[in-house]
Amino acid sequence: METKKDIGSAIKNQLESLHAAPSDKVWKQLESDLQKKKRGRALPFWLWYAGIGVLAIGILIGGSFHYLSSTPDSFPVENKISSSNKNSSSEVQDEQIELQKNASLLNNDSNTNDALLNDEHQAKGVLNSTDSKQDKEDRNSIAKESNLIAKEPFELASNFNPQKNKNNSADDFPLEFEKEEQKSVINSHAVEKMLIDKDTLSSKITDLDKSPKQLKEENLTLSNDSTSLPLKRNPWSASVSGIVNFYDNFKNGSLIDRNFDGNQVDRKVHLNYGLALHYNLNTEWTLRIGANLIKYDQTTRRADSTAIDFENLEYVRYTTEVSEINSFVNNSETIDITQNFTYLEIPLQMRYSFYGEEVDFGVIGGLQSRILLTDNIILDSDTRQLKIGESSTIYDIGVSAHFSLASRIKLSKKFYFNIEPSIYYHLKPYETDRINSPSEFRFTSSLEYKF
Amino acid sequence: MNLEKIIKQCKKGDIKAQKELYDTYKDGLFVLCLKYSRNREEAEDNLQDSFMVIFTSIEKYKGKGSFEGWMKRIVINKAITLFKRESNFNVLINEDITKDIVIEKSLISAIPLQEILRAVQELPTRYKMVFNLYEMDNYTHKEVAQMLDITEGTSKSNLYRAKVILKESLQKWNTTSKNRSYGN
Repeated sequence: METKKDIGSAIKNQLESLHAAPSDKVWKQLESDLQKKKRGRALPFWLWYAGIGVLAIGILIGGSFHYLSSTPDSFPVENKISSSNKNSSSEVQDEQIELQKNASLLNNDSNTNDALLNDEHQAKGVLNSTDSKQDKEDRNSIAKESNLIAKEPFELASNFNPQKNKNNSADDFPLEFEKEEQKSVINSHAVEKMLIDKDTLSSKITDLDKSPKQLKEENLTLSNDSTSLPLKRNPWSASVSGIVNFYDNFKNGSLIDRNFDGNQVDRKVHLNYGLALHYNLNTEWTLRIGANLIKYDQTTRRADSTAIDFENLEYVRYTTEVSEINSFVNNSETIDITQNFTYLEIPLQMRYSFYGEEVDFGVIGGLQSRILLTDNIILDSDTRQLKIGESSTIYDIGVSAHFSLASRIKLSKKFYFNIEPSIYYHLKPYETDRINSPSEFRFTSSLEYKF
Repeated sequence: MNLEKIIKQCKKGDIKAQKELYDTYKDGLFVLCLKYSRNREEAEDNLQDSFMVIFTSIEKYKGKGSFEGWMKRIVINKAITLFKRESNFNVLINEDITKDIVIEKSLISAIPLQEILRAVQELPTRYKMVFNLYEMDNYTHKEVAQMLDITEGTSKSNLYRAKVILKESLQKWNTTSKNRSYGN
């Protein structure tokens, strides 16, 4: 019987019957790590709430401006002008009626004025009463005072013949005028405003001589002047943009492994693209929403294959077999690690214009949601590449804030060219707190088309 | 839950399934970790890291081959990478490495398992890796050389040195043990 045995085989046989169990703390730690990994790609709740909150505030502010810009403080001449193509002569007549009434209001005796102010119907009745000699005189006098050029400013009024409406009592409002009133927007605010400013009234009456087309053209040129009569143009415009981004995510640490903190990192500058829809709330404020596709591409140079455990990099979620990685690393002298990722961004921006002529200057503030579309980590030797996985620390969804200087150059009536240098700050884009330089600079140029 | 279902649930990140998988295989994999480590603490760290890799890369397991074998491979790879950077493997010892190192059966049978394990754990890292891979886990010298980035000659040499050290260590324990018995 053999009494001796190779020590290797002997030890193997003996240890096959070895039983041992790890302590409970192993599972506890493992469970904790697994939970962290699970949370790793989801944005913290507070950021969601913050993002939603700020978007809501943005919408509220936008809505407020929109509401304010559509209150009847402004004279609604633009509506009439814009619709003048449909029935220009009747619209001009409406305007005449309104102005005639205002002229009366300026010059009538106090009794008549009170009645006019309180009752528009009554005002029209007075205006059209051929029996009121005093009124006619007053109207003529105000016309002279105001240097009215209108040939027959009260033509429509005098054309009204009460004899044709025998059935109507003296106080009844003429049927023709009721129809006219439905077409005409008589604005009591405007009446009051014009009572205060005779010059404005004069200019309005002067406008009667001009064709609707002339009026429209004149008002278009006035639209940038907030003190003039505002003209509502189509508030919508759209733009396509090219975006160049300069980023420095590695400034305070590597996004792959802390062992690479000191390595040289090269970042590619990409030309990215975006689309945006603009809504002019008023002459100063514009609300913009859009979509941008932003790429990042950074390479960590000369990773030491003898000192770095490539199968166990700190911020990598592996999708490749360990044996493949080992084989790649063993057959490569120098290895670079390339990390590229792409975000779809949905920005919501407010643009404020503080100087607007042919070249307009302003500022932009905004927030954007960011959705991670692609995320790759690639080992790169001189001759080969191997995708090893994706980042385990970059959140799939994020929020960022940005501030831009903005200038807009008018190229033609419809086209504008925008230039916007911007600073972006991404709110906690990574799970790890070790890296805290999530800012970037972008230069955006866009071609804007006004509808 | 059968293994197939556990794996399926683990792929979905189900923590209960992960616990069940851990409970099923933790002891066997822990013994493997013990052989490749210097002590219990290191083995526990290795086990924890290995299970982390298992859970995060379980999606890649397509059901081909033994699942236990796949997990063992992960543990061994983890051990290799942990020790790889601290050792210079390319140490060739000019000895007759073909010579067998034998031990008496009665001697090794008398030594408690914990002592045998301790002898293995106390081997210099480079010898321990080769000894474990070649003797315990049945890799060839060619495979060991490839895994550890060394030559086959170095692998054979390191194995030989490992056996010499183990024999000395076990004999020393036996002598000390006998002396203790006589002393009593």
